[in-house]
Amino acid sequence: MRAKRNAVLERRAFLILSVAGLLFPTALGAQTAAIVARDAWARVPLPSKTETALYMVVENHTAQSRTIVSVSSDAAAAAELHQMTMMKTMMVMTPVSQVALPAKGKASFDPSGFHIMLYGLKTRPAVGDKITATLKLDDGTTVPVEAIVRK
Amino acid sequence: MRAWIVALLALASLGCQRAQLPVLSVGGDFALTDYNNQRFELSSLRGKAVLIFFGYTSCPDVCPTTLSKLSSVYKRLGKDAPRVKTLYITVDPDRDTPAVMKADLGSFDLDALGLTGTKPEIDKVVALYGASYEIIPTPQSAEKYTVAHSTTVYALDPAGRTRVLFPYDATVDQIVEGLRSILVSST
Repeated sequence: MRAKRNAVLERRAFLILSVAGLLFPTALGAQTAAIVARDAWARVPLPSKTETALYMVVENHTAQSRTIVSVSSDAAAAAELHQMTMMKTMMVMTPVSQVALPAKGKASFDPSGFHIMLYGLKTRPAVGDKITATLKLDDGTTVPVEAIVRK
Repeated sequence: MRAWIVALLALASLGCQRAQLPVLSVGGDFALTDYNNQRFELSSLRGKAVLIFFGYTSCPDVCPTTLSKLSSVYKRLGKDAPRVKTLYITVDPDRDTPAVMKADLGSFDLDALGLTGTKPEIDKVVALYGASYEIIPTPQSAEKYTVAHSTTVYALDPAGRTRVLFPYDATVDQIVEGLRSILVSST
């Protein structure tokens, strides 16, 4: 009898929390549901390396411009924002301190532009593995990233 | 009658193709160390078409992208694949030792020989081919420095002369076509 009552209470609590979560997304751990990272992927590191690049598209569905100011990952000793740019006739990868997320717009992280570098990977990822990271925005909120490892 | 005209036109256009690839002023023979720690001389590749490009293995995007593109080129070359040799010359000899290059280039599906050497030796080849690179310290990064480098792929004919310069955004089709022209004009 008590088990059944507990189950009903549990279900009710779950319903209330779900509705609250839908109505007030920022109430759940200061995560920004209106800004999402999708299609995230990473390369398998080269045999002699413990680093790799993460690519993705970050969409800002809000009416406010935001900036990505840092990135972190439990999978690596260091995570950094980088950009490929042209320097005279040469291409170069350099660390950047931020990436713009225009209002109702997006930021693309791909092999020809911005990307995230992960240095000192703690384990060697294989094709199909997932690497997680967290983007931190200028307003203190965070965006989770789940990247699939590809060849 | 029409078949003859078509055949004649095809032959004529082939002849035109041979005249169309100029011998470029950049390039020339050089000697470096390959990723088996053996002395390598470009002149040893006479008789094959050669693709040369400069990069470094800690390069996360440009170099893997070029290597993947060249893998696709080799697949498309089919029976002509053994007639083309690819050389990957590092502009980061401090980190790109023969062992590192051998391990990393081995993970790509193409017959690319890694070449390294002393800084003066590499600088000589870079100058010969009109390429460029620059080591840039990055104190704000976990990596001590980054390397800016030109991204041209140089295509040499079987006599060792530079005939085509492929820019970074050259497609697999364009590179295959360029190589076929080089191979056709040498037979």
